[in-house]
Amino acid sequence: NVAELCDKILQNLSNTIDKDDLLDEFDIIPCESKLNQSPVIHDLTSHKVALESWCVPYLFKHSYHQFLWICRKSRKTSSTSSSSSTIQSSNSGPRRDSGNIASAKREKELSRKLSCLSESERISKGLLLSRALIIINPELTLAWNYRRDFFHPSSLEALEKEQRFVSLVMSRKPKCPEGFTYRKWLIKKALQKSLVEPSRIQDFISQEIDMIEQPIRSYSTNYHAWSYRFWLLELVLTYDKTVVSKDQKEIMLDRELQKSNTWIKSNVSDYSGCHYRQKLLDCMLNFCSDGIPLLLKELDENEKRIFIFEGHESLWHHRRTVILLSINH
Amino acid sequence: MVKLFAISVIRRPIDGPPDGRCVLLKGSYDLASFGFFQRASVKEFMSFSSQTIVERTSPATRQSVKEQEFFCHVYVRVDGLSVVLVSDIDYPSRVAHTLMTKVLDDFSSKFEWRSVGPEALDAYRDLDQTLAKYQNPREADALTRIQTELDETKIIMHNTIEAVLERGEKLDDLVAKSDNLSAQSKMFYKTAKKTN
Amino acid sequence: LSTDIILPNAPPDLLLPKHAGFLSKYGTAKDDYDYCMTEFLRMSGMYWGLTALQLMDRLDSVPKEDVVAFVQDCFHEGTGGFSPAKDHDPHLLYSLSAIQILAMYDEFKAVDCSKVVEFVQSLQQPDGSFFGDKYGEVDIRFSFCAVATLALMKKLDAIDTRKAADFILSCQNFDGGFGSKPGSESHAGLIYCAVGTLSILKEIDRIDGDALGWWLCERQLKSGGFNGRPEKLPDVCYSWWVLASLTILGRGDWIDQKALIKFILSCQDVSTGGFADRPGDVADPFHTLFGLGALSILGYEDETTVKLKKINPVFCMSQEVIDSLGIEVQILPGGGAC
Ligand SMILES: CC(C)=CCC/C(C)=C/CC/C(C)=C/CC/C(C)=C/COP(=O)(O)OP(=O)(O)O
Repeated sequence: NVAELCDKILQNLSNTIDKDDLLDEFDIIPCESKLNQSPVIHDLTSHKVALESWCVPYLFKHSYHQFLWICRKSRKTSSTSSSSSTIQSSNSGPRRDSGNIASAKREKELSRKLSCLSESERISKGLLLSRALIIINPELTLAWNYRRDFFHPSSLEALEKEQRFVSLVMSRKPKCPEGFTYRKWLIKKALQKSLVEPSRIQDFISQEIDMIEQPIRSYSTNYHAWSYRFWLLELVLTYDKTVVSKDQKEIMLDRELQKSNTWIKSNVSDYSGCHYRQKLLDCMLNFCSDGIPLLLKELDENEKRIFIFEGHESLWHHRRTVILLSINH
Repeated sequence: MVKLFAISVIRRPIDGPPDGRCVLLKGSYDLASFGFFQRASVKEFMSFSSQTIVERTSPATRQSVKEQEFFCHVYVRVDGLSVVLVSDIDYPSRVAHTLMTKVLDDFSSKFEWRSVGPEALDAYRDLDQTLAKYQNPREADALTRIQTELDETKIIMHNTIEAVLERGEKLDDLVAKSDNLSAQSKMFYKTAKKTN
Repeated sequence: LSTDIILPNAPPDLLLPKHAGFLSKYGTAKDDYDYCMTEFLRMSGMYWGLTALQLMDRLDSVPKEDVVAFVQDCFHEGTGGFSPAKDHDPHLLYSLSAIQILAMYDEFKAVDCSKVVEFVQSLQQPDGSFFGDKYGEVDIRFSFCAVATLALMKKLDAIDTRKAADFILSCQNFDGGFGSKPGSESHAGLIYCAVGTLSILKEIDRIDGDALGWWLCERQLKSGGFNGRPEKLPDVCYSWWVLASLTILGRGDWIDQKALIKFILSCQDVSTGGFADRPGDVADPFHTLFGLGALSILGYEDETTVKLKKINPVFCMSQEVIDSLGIEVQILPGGGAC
């Protein structure tokens, strides 16, 4: 029975994610079904989790249809017509086809299975399903939105758990734009709801920057990751100065300048990293009065790299911009 | 990224039968940047590709073969002692080849390489150290400046591994036929191709 | 050996019938895993496929009533936005695709357009930027979607257009290019959004065509294809994003057009039909539209006299449709080739 099996896998996956707080990697392993063995692979010592590929299509489809059903019931933003009426009208309308008949049948089954849930049970079921859907297909905006609507962190710990979940998703899909948008949303939420003490804001953001170094490392020239990193930096730099002091801002800038230097050294074709550094240098010039030595040093380092690593467009583009920067200042 | 993933020292038969197989004497790997569940397969693939390329490289030849985001640098000495270095595409090939010469010089000065078997090399750790040390190509660049005799124009560059294979040979077929690759690794290979 | 690919020997001719077959069959197996996996962008997928068919003059191979009914099903009366598929959430990305589809069929009456205008209007921010939906992410793509959607419905006066343009300019970088938001790296796809928005708003002369044109030309690689930013692989979709931008900037002749044609043709899948991002990869409607779109700009024709319809470089729709709506876009006067 496919549905039962899927429910079991779903529960298993969810428990694994909940139990192991140190999980830092998810993957799908290509392989065929092995009888009598769960397709959820959990490596306890190194804290990695995987699904065997054979179960993924079943699991996804199964969760997806249940999830859509729950969304229709629990969310105000659903489309014009309520589900059941469209199914009926489209069955009697001109667009009748086997697909519609099948979906009407599925709809009935879902109702039979899920109608008995109370409102809060339905919401937690939705949260559980959304997590499975996201981990398999992080581009599914609807599932992230569902979490935005129904995941209400009451403490910093709860929020951090959610951040770890996003990191887990990104360990397999490091450039997923939806993941970064959601991370940003979480950060805003934490600050809005004052889950972070004012004195710890700079730390909190630095910690988030450390978290996204994983996706930055695992996919080079990661556009959204670097763009998000700059958003985080700017958030701190432009924070109300009665909350985040000028000193704290400077510490942050220094830290980033150093880190980006290390990055650029061994990632010579990563122009995103160079761009980030250009923005840092620009911020630095606005922050301190004499930035020229900094720029000269940058040009010097860049020249050395150009000689060791031949033919890298990024290095030349970087040079061009640093020169433009020095002219402007 | 500038990264070294693997170095392997391989013995290539020179005057045996033409289909004489190569022997992988010693390999060293740094696979931390790969997914946990993929490492075993990546390792199998690296050693499979290394041997495949050495078998198809004539003695006294240097080649650098680009395959997707990897570079396979190979050097087969006149006498058949060979080395393959797998790096990412940013690692400068000039530096890679200088390093490879050094590896072979060290190796042949320490072992009677024509007769030594992989078992006897269990305790040999120099390759691991080399792999770690030269992750930073600046380290290696210092080395290049001393050993200027490497003539860069002698490195044959290829843009795909198919260019190194014999006419009519396909990588897909070699992978399918190979006994050195596990079923799991072959599956990984297929899915990686599909989702490209 | 730069970051590039080597083209297979001779590219095939343009295989229009195959592409038409590929597109009209695409995504018909509704209960498939793949269908569910890609449903989150179905509306845009429809727009890609239908526009490509229209360029080949095969729009009639898909039943119009089904498409319009699908679009209606995705309309959210409450917000005025369109979702990518039924039961998903409304977003500017899919609202543009929906309105583009309705424009193609001359079917604006199928939905309450005044609501759509309100939806777009409600998402503009004080700095001129746009949220994509109620969750508040800002991106230059959403500015393009907002402005293009309103322009198609002739309702640009519903928003602050000057501020919309100001925001676009705030996304410009030292290198002349544009990123997804202020401070983000330049990217060919986002440059298209910037240039397209300014063209619709008739403020295209606020950018320096030479500097930006230069950056865009640097995206062409030896293989003839374009990448979207430095040291990335070429991809057929950038043929569109870059060439359309250059065309709006009046500098479409700054690139090696022959080499580009060869690259695009090599990305066709001769057995299934359709175009892939690069030769040998799996084809999809997204790359098929942008491959054909670029060929249309290039005025590609071959011995078999297949000819594509003319495409509008800003809206990425058949020029006929844009003409019939009476919409004009602004194109910069050409710069001297360098
Ligand atoms: C009506 C039309 C034609 C378009 C609507 C407007 C939109 C949505 C335009 C999208 C433009 C686009 C391609 C944006 C790209 C965004 C981005 C930053 C992508 C980076 O992703 P990677 O996967 O890293 O791609 P590259 O490696 O090729 O840069």
